[in-house]
Amino acid sequence: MKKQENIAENQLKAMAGNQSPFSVPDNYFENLPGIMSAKIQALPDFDKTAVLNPFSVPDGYFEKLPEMVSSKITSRKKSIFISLWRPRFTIPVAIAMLLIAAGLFYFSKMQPTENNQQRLTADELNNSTYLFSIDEDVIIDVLANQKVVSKNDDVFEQYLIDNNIEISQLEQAL
Amino acid sequence: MNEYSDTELLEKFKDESSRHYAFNLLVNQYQQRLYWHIRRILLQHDDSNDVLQNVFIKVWHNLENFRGESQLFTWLYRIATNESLSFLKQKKRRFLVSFNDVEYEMADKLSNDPLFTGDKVEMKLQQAILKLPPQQRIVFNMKYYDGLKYEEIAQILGLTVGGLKATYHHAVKKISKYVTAI
Repeated sequence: MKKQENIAENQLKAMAGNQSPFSVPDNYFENLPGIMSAKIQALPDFDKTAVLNPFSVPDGYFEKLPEMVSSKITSRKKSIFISLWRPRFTIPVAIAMLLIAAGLFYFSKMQPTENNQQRLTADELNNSTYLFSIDEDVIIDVLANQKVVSKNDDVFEQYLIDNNIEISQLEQAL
Repeated sequence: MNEYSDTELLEKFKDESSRHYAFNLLVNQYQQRLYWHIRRILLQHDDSNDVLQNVFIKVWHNLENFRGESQLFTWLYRIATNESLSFLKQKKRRFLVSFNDVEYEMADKLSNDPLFTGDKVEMKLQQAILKLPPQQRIVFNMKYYDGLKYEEIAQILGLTVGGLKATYHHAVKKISKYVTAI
């Protein structure tokens, strides 16, 4: 058995020779130490003792920052209004304004105003049969509960004061 | 400059008469830590400056509601992290591009940025960090650059310590692979 294995090994050696079938680029092993050294240098020290900060800031930035923040806070109320006119708010603001305008127009049509109310003259009211359909008690109740305020009350009062007329005099005269 | 404790700052802020003074102290005390945290996420100074100012404006409006359940700096870091990520999302949405494209653009800008003073190795490291998903990038920056403890990062990001260790480990592996690739 062992003799057979030796024969096979010898045959393989005879066929392929003793050399590796693989090859490497030219000067690979000469360059490898340099490549490895560069890689190790590139590798961050994750167990670092000190980390370099590769960024910098403009001169005096941190001295000016508190003042910049302060002025932004005080001018914030203004900026809220101005910010509505930024391009990204233009469409929502325009839609909102259109909706408000449409709403105002709609409700103005719905609510009766003096101009579009139908006013009846005294004659028309007398000739109308509408009042006959209302129960008399209802009309009396409405009139009794109505707070009548005359625009002329103040004028009468002033007249009585100016002419030194007392209420008792009026009562007697009536 | 004297460091003020959270309690001192919050007490001064609650008092109407010393509110602006307290806020000024807070900005002075935390501006650099927050700036560098944001800058490492956004890389560009102008973007970082915009986001940092927004962070402080948010702090001004919400500090009164801060209940002190966590440390003040944890709360500030959380706002800064969220604002930075929102900024990146907005950027992505504004230009209708993927995160990868935004990061490609960021890496491209970095190579011409006069406020980036790193050498080739540092540039390669930043490019490697940019290849990481946003959360891995933030965890790596907080651990590697800010030197925060896992427990602190866990509080800021609302993640578990175990999960963070795994995230950092993956980030380190990916970065090592990238920077050593020929």
